[in-house]
Amino acid sequence: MVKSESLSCPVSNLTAQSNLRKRRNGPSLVPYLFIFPFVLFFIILFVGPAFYSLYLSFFRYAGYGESVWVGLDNYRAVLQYNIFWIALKNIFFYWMAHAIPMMALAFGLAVLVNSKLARYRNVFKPLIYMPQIIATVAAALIFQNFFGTQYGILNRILGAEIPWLSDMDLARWVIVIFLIWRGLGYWFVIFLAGLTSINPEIMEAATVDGATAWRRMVYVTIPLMRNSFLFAFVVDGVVTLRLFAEPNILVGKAGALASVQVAPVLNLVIEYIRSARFGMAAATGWILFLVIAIISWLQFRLFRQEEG
Amino acid sequence: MITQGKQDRGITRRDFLRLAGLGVGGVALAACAPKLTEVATPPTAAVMQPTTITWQSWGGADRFTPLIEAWAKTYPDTAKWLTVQAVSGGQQDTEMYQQLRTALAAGGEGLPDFFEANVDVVPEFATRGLMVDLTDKMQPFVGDLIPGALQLASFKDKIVAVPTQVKSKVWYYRKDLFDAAGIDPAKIKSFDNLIEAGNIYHAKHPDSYIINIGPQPIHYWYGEILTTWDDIRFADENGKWFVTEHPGFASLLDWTKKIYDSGIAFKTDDWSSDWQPAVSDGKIGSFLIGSWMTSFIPQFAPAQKGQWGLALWPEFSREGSEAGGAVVGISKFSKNVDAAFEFCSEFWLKPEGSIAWWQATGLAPMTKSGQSALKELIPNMQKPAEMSDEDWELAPVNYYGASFMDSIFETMDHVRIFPYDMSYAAELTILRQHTEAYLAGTESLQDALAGAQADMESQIGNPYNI
Repeated sequence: MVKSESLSCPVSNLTAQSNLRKRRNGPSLVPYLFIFPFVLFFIILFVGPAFYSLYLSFFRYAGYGESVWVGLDNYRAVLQYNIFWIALKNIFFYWMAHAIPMMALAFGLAVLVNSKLARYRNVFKPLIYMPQIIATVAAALIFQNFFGTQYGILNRILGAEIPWLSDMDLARWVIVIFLIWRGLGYWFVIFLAGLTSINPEIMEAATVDGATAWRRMVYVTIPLMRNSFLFAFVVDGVVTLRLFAEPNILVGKAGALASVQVAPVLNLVIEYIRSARFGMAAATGWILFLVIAIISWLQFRLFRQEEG
Repeated sequence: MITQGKQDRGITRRDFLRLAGLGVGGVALAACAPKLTEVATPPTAAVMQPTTITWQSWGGADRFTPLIEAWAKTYPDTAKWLTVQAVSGGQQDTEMYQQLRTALAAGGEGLPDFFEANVDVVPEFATRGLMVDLTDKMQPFVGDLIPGALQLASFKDKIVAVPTQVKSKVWYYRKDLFDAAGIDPAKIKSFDNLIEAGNIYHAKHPDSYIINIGPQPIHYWYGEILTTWDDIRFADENGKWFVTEHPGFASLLDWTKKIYDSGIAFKTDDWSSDWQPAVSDGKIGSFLIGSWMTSFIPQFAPAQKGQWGLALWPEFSREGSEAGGAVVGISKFSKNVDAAFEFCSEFWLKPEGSIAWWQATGLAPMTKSGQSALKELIPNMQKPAEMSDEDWELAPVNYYGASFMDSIFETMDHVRIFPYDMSYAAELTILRQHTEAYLAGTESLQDALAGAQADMESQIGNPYNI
């Protein structure tokens, strides 16, 4: 029986042999061996410290010496601290204010560069991506000089003395512009990759069916890019909510952290660590983790509902 | 332990100023100073067993390796048996403190024999027993220490460190602009005098301001003003807070806002992108700041050579310090405490070492004898052969005049160290937030002080018990 099948259908015979071998030897260990180093280091370097920080968040601990159990006091103190709420509001502002225009711009540029209308694609692609390869510190210094009040390039052009970086209400928007400028190239590349992965036959079929460019965009391209958008919004949300370098370099002076009026939540973690209050730092970190987890879950829900 | 050559890179906080000051000022001053051989260097150490000790600091081992070399040149006999290894504690002081804490958590493993520290962390490390009690060893030097240096090294009636740097309050001013406006810094006694002088100055020089301050005053401004009061502190050891009670905190906010609102200040913060061009443009006529500024003004405004003078702060806020200063502490885990103290005492407590320290860093000696030696040395300085004419022109001795160190020494006589507790960084963050809110007009003075105190109570609790 087996022999006749193997003659008539070699592929199914091989599958049968493979299944037989699996049944005989049990599940193969090879895939697990491949991922073992990663899992091992992930547990040692991430999961372990993460759970240790969760444990620490219930103690008053200076990083050495005696640790004192304080229960939920650290969480209570952080949640009672107005700077925490200012910082939380700040990161939500940065996220909301920059994400939509940046994604729209990145997607628009990706569509343009991917279209048949675009010439010199090989010039535009690196140009748009360039801000990504400039060091954050260098870019922030350029922005500082551009947005200076008395000697800034922009104010010189405008003939004004607008306190872009010293009025914190304006500085917030400068940070948003900086985030858009920095992030645009990265998401442009992601969206371009998504667009090039769309099967051209689908587009051709839609064109043959009489769909206009706008309709092809709305009813074909955007729905097929849903996974790219989900990835972009979730990852950008996580990155922005954990923001640290940009506001501090742009607005902070002499290497100091930025004013609390524009500070992100991570500033609080750093301040706690610098003043040897590890329990508070850990509690802040876990609260931030919860916020990010909830936001990410909501984003997944939103995109899946739309999909449904 | 991070060893030489593996240090991190990055810049933050007042260490930026300090390190930059060390670099720029050190190079300028070291270059303009005479050769070490001009200083008498009597042999100070007896022949001992070869010993190696480790010195941990921040800014990269490259920063303090040349200092070790300067010491070795000054004390060749000691250097025959004593080897000092530089151990990088990262780029910032806070990184190094974290390494010290981690080492303490590991039972002292990896701790250096001695380490540099800013004075604000001395309470923590002294309380936690990291710093060896040096009271007895320091006795021969106590009478020679300048008062501020002794305060730096002391904690709870013990001497727990060797002082290396005192950050005094210095008033740098444009002599030409002040003279034209008829303002004599020595005659400004009260805060109102300062405002009045600022108005006179601005009336005479409409494009220039007597001082600069922005909406987010730089962190060292707080220390400079708070140390005006000799009895000020954030809280006592029982966790009782004094922010709403002590008049110094109210005055800090009040003076800052009055200067900000009065029209006498160029409204930019120190180290903003506008600050340096404003100095070179002549828009800022003076700085009420710390002594580290000596090396920055020549870099900011080379064309203003000879136009800047140094003076004591106005009388109403003459006493105090910019941020205290720095010390070296010897680790209680060190097996070479005597050798470490030999190095520290030679470099920072003896005149020859103090001169070598000044030549290498531009930082003033901590002892009266060291200051005297330096006073004798400065007038006779010649341009080093390896120095360009341009650099020599900008060396402080030429830029300000040969008496500039006399002015610095005079300001050091007025140094008063803030009584730091174990949570100064957190206290300052909270105070700055409410000061900025007061400057912006979103909080009243009373609300700002009450808010700051409430935040300190809820966030810090007892600052002596972290």
